Amino acid sequence: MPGRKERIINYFNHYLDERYNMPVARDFIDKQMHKRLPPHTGWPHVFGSLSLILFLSQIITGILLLIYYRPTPEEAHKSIQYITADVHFGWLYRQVHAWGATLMILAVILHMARTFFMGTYKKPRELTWVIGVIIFIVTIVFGFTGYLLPWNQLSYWATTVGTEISGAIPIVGPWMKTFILGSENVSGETLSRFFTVHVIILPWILFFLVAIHLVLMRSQNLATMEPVGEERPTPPECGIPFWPVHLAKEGCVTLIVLGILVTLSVLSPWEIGEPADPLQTPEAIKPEWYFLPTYQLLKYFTGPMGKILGIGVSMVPFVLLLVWPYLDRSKPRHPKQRPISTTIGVAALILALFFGVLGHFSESHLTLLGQTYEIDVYGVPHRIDRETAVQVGEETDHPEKGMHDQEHRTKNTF
Amino acid sequence: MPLSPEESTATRRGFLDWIIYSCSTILGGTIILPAVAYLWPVTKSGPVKVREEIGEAANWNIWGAKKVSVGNKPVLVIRTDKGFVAFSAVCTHLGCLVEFNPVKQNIICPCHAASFDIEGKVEGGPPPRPLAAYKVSEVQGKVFVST
Repeated sequence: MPGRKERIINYFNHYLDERYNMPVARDFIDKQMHKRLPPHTGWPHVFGSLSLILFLSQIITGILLLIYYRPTPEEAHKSIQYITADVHFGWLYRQVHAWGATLMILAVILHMARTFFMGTYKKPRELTWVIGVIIFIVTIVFGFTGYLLPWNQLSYWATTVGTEISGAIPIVGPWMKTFILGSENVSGETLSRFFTVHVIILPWILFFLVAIHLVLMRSQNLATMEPVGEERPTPPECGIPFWPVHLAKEGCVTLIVLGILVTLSVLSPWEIGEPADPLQTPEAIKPEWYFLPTYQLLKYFTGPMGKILGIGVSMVPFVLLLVWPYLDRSKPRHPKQRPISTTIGVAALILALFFGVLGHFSESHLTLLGQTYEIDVYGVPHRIDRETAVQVGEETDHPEKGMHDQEHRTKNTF
Repeated sequence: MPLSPEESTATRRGFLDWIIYSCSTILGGTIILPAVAYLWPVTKSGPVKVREEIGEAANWNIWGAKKVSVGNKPVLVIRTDKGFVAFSAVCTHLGCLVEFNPVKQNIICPCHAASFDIEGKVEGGPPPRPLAAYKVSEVQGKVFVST
């Protein structure tokens, strides 16, 4: 005699079988779950699903924040304060959403790096890569539009600078800038537009892009390390089962990252910041870490053509990423067998890191092994004498100054 | 010379296809165009001249500066040893608001390390153009800025 649980399951199975072609659906799910992955599939392959999990986390926390958030210049900042201070667990969901955005961009970058260095973007998976790069760009736009919503000083001026970049594009730039902003400068119209794009348009775009990306990935299977055109299907006896082996790895990483997400939310909360003041640009404002290389690069291009040149150079990595599978048509996939691609990839990562670090430390004071350095706007350190260093220390240690500088992080000690 | 019915490639089906495609395009256009127009921001057209009083000259130190909003535009007004000067406070690089530095007697941008001299010309950093200058006038001890 079947138990109560089995009877309920049988009833539902019978209900579905009577109405739909369930054997086909069951067969499809079974094949997907027990798919054999290439033998080299391991921990580096979990970043794609990790990005997806973080995207889901952003959707859930985003919906929760939407319940209390109000997208007007008068109420936006106050509603964020209300969410943080008064709403039950509001502080947690706001922090998880803010940190989730950062971790999602990091996960997407790591996933792209893995795909690049393993040569997975090569034929026949070029379109999967291109859609992946578009997903990366959409994720960054997600970060940019969401950044304005708290309507604080940092978000207001970061948006001003960001949209001015689009305004510098020849001919269509000013038109684009007005269209994006909804007015001549950052205003309530901009907040409404960014809000609509952030909560309605981008989530659906990302949903469909991710769906196509997953369908392409599943239908073409994961790439092996064999050269293009020499790939052989993985025999069942030597492949890695998706369920339970790979899914267990993904589960482990997901749990660890969710732990990191909550830990960061509790131990390193994001500031609410001062409300936006359209008449006062704060000192030494810096963008989020993923915009730091661009921010630093823009400083080096001076002169009448410097602005457009700087922006042009900043766009190069994105264009290169989009067309890379069509530029690199060599057959080997293993990074050691394609030294030029690997060198370019490593050099790009080092350059991004280098300019990012310069951007982070520029216009600040750094104490290293007892010696204080003043880092100028270009990131060049200048040693300063002990007396000046003490004065700098006193200035930044002052409680009010310290509060003011929390966003700017002007003093770094090692 | 007109083609005979045997020579003509036009078919009734082709003609109906053409009618359907044309009507679909017109219908699509009538739906999409208003939506695009709806998204276009409502902005004032043509230059708007504004003249506003921004304070008493007597309350203003030499090498003192003030940031004010004139006609919804941020303006930096500085009293130099030769009189008042006013510039758009919007940096020509990427739109941050500039500040007057009384120590070096120049104008600096906090975002990308730009500096302008007291005439608004680019002194250093990435801005492509000088700051836009505005007219300042002093009438019966009161300072007016025209944008």
